[in-house]
Amino acid sequence: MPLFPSANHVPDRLLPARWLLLAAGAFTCLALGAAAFTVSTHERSANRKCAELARTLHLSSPALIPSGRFLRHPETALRGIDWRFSPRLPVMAPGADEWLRSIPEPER
Amino acid sequence: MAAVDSGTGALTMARQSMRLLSWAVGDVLRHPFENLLISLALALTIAALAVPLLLSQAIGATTARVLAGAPDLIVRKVSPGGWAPIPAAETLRVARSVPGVTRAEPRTWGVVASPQGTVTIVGVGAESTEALRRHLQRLPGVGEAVLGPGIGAADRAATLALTGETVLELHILETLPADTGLALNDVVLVNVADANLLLGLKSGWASDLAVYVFHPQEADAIRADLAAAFPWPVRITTRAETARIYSTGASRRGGLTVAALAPAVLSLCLLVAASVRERIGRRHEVGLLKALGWTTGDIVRFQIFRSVFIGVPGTAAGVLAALYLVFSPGITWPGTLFFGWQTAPPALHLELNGAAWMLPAISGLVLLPFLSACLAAALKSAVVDPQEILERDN
Repeated sequence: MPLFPSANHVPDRLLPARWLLLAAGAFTCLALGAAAFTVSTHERSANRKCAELARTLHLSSPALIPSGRFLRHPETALRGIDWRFSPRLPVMAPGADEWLRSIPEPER
Repeated sequence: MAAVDSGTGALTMARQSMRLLSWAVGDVLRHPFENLLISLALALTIAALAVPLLLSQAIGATTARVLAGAPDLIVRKVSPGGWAPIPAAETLRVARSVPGVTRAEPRTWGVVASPQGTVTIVGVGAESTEALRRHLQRLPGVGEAVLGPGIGAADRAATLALTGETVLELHILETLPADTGLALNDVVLVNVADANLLLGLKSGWASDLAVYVFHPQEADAIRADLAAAFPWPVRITTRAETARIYSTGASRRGGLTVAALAPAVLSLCLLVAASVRERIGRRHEVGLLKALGWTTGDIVRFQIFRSVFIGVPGTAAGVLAALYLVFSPGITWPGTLFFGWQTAPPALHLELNGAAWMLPAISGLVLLPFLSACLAAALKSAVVDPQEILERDN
């Protein structure tokens, strides 16, 4: 290599790199090994207690969705009208009905 | 003799390939950041595609497992205003008279308000099974409550105020462990008397009826008989229907996420393809190698080895990332991201069913087009004549 490389000099650096090959191979093996280990040792009994409690309480839907959402307790047909949320007329004061009836009708 | 020759030839070829591989790896080091970015892009693409698909599949499988012991049929009395309470004793008598019904249990449950948001209360009576007693320190008495893990995480106060038809201040007995979150995250177990008060039910009445049949396949067949047996209109939901609703809901969310990610993934792939094509198609490098005595086959193998070296670790990293994001025990991010939890979401322990074939399929879906693009570019650049390159450069 010259002491003062010219501007046109570009080091090629095309050299074999076994260490990188080994490192990449090790990384791949490690990653795939970790994935295989996770799959093989995955705790299949993790939901056993959850399933047992759900069965004991006769629960028919999981708690994946918050309670307030319709899908939490799905019904397979259209829902009826919930009259609790319908508009309501103002409540008449006690005795007002009798008082209104007592008013004589105007003569025509 | 021929066998010895072919064996020696294969050995020589293997040695030559190993040598080429180490040179290809060395070539990667000439543009380390560019190649690292390509590898990361592959990992991200695989993870972005795999996570929603794995999640929806795993949620469907886990829900089916947790609901495996759920009632085969749920019978609810309906009125023009929605569902209505049922007289427990009469409903039980009618349900048990239907051939095929092995067991029927009235349920007292409903949705009420709490400081932590809307919760589901479930009434627990003295007749509760031994299994429930085994999981709880003590069954909730009047004025007491057992909280699901999501509610317990939000507030550690000694009492919980529930607002339904009336307001009750209940003493908290215990909070259920986090691994019961999939079924009981925002469920409050209360005494059946308190549940009646909160839901406005009279004593001896229930919310609906859980029906069990001998064989799950009988559920659909028995439905019509069950509906006809009751003197009031009922709506009957089978377990399969409920599981299907959750499964399709999760699949729809996964599909929407993939659809939303698709343009980003596509643009990432295009950038990677452009970069690879530009890198492999540098003709002056090919001309230099050919001038040094490399054959066309050597150059193609060299480029393929280089692409495999970049692609395989990236794919492995993507697979690992997807696996850990979805199947780490107790993950809570899907609840916040997909299911709209404002309070503590359920900690999920998802089942691995189907991941073993889905991950290789997704990896192949990304890696094979990448390698094919590399091979095409390598073939195109490798067949060029060095003389032509020299003439063009001059």
